[in-house]
Amino acid sequence: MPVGGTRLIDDEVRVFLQGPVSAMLGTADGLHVADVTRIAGVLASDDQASMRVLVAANATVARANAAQPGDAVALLVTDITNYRSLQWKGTVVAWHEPTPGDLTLLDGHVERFLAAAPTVGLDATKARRCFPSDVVALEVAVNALFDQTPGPDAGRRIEQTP
Amino acid sequence: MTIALSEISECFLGEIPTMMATCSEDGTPNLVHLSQVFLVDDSHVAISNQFLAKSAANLAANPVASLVCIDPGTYDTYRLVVRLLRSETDGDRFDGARTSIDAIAALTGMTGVLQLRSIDVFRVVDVALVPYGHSDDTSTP
Repeated sequence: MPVGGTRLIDDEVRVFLQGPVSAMLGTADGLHVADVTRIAGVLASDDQASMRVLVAANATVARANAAQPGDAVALLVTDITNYRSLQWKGTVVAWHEPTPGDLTLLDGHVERFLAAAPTVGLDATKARRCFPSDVVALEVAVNALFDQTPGPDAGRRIEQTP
Repeated sequence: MTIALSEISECFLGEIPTMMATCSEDGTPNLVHLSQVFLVDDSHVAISNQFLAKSAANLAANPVASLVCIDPGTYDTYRLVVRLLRSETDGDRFDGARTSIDAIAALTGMTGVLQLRSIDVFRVVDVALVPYGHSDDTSTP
């Protein structure tokens, strides 16, 4: 479903998104005060230009819920086992109530994270507390991608998929 | 602030990376991992600026940011709204951080790559617990 984004999510990145990742959503309010909330599931769309992300339904947790269609957002996704990090910039397309597929996405995202958590010194039982159990889905069109892996190349822009 | 920084001091031990969100002049947010946030006193924290070019540019235009940190003992998540006060490029705090970063660089083969640009000191405007409310969530701050 094309939503006006740029093709920035190739097959390799799609696999990356389904790994043991920590994913965060950045938003900004009308006064340009930035906020960040944990993403509890992320799925690339077939058009390679948008993503469906899950955030806490509790608006107290996810101030991101105040983001309106057309607002700018940032998505930072990091593989917790090797710190490879990618950051997309994009815009909100729409909000959706969670579907059964979203709940499967939530469970898979959390379980993959928790399975890898002990390998990086995290307590998997406690780390579950970092994730919401009730979510809403946010559709984001992406328009820029940056390598955010810690190191001298952090911030390097990655060009669109040919 | 409803939560004193001293109550969440374990968040500043560097065990779990902190996230920082800044915003550009045009309203575009930017996210970055921080290896450690330093507790300065009851109302201030500091970060070491190594690879934060975009964040630094955003903060120069808009000094308000948000930090999300996790207590490594309880895994409670806290949101801090902060305002950049100053960037230090010398002094005891800068020298101490540079020594630590130089040691890390030497151990990781990144000497000359990992370079401290500044220590950025922020006033903390607000601290709030982020109540994810997971079904396993039984602890209280």
